[in-house]
Amino acid sequence: MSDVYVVIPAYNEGEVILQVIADLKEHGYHNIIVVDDGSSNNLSSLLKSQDVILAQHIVNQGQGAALRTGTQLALDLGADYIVHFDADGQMLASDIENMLKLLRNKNLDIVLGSRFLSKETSNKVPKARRLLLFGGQIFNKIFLGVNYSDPQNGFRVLSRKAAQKLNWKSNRMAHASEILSLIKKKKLQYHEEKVNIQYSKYSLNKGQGAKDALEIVWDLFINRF
Amino acid sequence: MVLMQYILIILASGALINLFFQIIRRNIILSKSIKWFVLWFAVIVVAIKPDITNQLANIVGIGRGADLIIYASLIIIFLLIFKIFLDLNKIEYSVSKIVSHLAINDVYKKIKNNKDYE
Repeated sequence: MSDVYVVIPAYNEGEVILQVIADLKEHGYHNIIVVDDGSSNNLSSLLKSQDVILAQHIVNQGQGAALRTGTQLALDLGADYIVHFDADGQMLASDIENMLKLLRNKNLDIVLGSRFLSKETSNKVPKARRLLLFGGQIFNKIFLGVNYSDPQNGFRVLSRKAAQKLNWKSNRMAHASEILSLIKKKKLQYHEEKVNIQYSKYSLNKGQGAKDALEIVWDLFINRF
Repeated sequence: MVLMQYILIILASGALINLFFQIIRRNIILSKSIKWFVLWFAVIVVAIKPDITNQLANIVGIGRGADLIIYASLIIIFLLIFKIFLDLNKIEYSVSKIVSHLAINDVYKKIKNNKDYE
């Protein structure tokens, strides 16, 4: 799988990221790009012994910007498929294979992970967050004209073509919704596929709240001009 | 004329003279300076003949000229703040491009160094 690159944006992540990297390698993904988004902890020394490509933002820019750096780097290094993956251990590397298969076999441009396509995984999402994400879905429907079941999910598998075409501008959390609206704008072939989720205390603390939702709305608004 | 009118006329004239020199020194483009010319000129006109604002206010349906000026200033301030937000957003995007470029270049350097080492 030398043509698959996994991009992990990371900001002040702890040792969980080592498990994430180990999980990816166990499943055969060895091209791993970690974008250290100006972390103030010891993330870079944590990753020193790891066989990953480490790109470092000198100042914190936000997840959207970190993903942009990682995706660009993957393209430069000749990736045919790019996987966007979280550093907090919520996503499972075992889901990638299925998404890649779909992308290749159905000739798609992008496969998006969704937690809400099966009851089993959607029940794992805390109620308050489910409500917030439902709000996000409605917002996207009304203002962006797109309807996806899991608007803030960062699990994506992109073809090279999709990665080249999706030029999101949001530096922060709004990139997720922006990517969804860009998929429509650029007429990319997409598919939503159910993915597993594994919450921990750590990852729940890293998640987004109502304040972030307001910031996302503002960023989406201002990036329109 | 009351003291306030003299002060306004002096301030606005100063601003106009300053603007004039800026254009001569080519610090500011002529087309961009037009709005400032109009603004300061309007201030002088209003300072000399404050009644004009009352007439304008009556046209748009606001009772007093002073109120009209306050409403108009509020709108202008809101627009300016919004413009600043947009400019900030643009700067943020430019900064992130630079940061991203630096990060990617660093990776290339590391890859090149490793190859040389081997």
